[in-house]
Amino acid sequence: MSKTFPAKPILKGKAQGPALFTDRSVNFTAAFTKPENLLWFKKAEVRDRHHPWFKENVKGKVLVIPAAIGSTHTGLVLLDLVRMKNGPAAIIVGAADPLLVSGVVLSEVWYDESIPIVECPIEPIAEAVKNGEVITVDGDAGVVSAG
Amino acid sequence: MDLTADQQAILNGSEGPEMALAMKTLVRYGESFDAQRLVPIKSAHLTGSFAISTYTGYYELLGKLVDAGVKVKVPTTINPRPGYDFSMQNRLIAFRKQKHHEDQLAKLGVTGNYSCVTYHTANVPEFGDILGWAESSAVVYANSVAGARTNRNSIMVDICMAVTGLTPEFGLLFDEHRKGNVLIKLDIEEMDDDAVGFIIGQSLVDKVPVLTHYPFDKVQLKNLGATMAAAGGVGLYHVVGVTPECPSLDAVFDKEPEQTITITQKDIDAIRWDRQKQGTAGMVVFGCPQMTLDEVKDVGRHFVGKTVTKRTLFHIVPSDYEELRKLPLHDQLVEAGVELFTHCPLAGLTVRLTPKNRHVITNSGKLHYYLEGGEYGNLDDVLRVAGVK
Repeated sequence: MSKTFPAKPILKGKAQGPALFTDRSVNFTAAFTKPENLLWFKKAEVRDRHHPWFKENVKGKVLVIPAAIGSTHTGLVLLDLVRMKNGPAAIIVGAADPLLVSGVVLSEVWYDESIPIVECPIEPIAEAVKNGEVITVDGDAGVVSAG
Repeated sequence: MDLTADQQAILNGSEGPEMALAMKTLVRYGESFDAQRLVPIKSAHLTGSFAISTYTGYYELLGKLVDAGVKVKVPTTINPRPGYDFSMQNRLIAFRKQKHHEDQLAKLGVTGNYSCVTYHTANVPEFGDILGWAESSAVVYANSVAGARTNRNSIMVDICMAVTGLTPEFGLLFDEHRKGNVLIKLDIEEMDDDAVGFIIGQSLVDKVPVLTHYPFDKVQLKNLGATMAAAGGVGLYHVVGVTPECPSLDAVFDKEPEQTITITQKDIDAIRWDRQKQGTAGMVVFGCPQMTLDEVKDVGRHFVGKTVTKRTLFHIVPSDYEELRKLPLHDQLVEAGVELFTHCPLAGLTVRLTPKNRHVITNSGKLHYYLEGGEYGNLDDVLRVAGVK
């Protein structure tokens, strides 16, 4: 049976991918600006040793995160990951912040390439959906669904 | 969003397609947070000072604006240089296009102060000013210690603000988002502001922490905020009786705090690198954010008349470094073996090829958070590892 969750649309679009959960907020700068990220196949590999996603690759995944920590280089990272289709398929965030949204907005406005971002409580999704299970984000209607 | 006739005209292309996209970026950014309008900013501060060779989009966009002859409309300062000449790998690989990038920024009309401590002398905000700033450590200082108002803005969005002189009105620009959420009590014997900031950052995200009274000085407020911002996305904090919007707890709490956290001496000591391993550090690093002259004097006095036994790096605000050069302390530090730099330690040290330098020890909570192999020590620890205590 399919499970649906209402969400506030932050950035429009529809996408699908395996869910990747964390209850720890993500610092996109710390995650993706390490020497290892120089390698083309590790562009989307998390290299933040303070985060449980350390060594996890986010390409094509639907990220389910409580919040983004920053820093202000988040836009540098997300702009390239999104416009080159190297990044996450969509982001579900407990509380959207300026830095997370900016990177995707830059790609959308200047390169016409975007991913949906929606805001909603992530605990109910984490309880009902397994890590790696395919999840759909509808940033136009404001719905997250799985199964 | 409600745009003025002038703003709408720019969005429609009156100042060219590049300015239209810069305006559209601010509109889309603002709409995502239900902003109703764009408001004028007094200054901008840009975070994107490094030519990071693995990324291209940001530099392309900057190039489009420069090629179109676009200039900043408000005073605009910029973050530190990355240490282009610090190592061969920085010069040849990591930041090989640095010189070109700095030329581009100059063409845009950016003031080349090259410091993250921009609020110290280059771009001094006043109480109540609306700013379009990036660089998380500068944002948190401007909001908390100066009482100015800026959101935590992204790289490139900061340039869109600088060239339009505008920012979307939401978040920390409004009184209701400047109230405290979390009360922080300190139960410690010896202050270590970076460790306190690190613990606060790790305990909460995107909240406004309020610390009970402690007579922090300006340098401590800088380092405390920078570490909170790095580890926890904090854009504003208050200290009772110290920061301007917080004369008392009542001034910042309308209701009971959502949460109360007590930080103990044990918590602070737990951040420090294992004492047994500290001696294996390849070098000792100070200055993230960059050291002001006061900080150089305060830390530097421990080195006068001694000689370091481990490579020791100071990273200093460029204008303060020029002041330092006029003082006897400059030669005394050089004599002691301290290496004096004006670039960003994080950028400078990110690509370290020699295994000997795998671990460094630093008293900067922010650098500890960001740098792979960057271990934390309090001031006593790092002075001991440097061989001067």
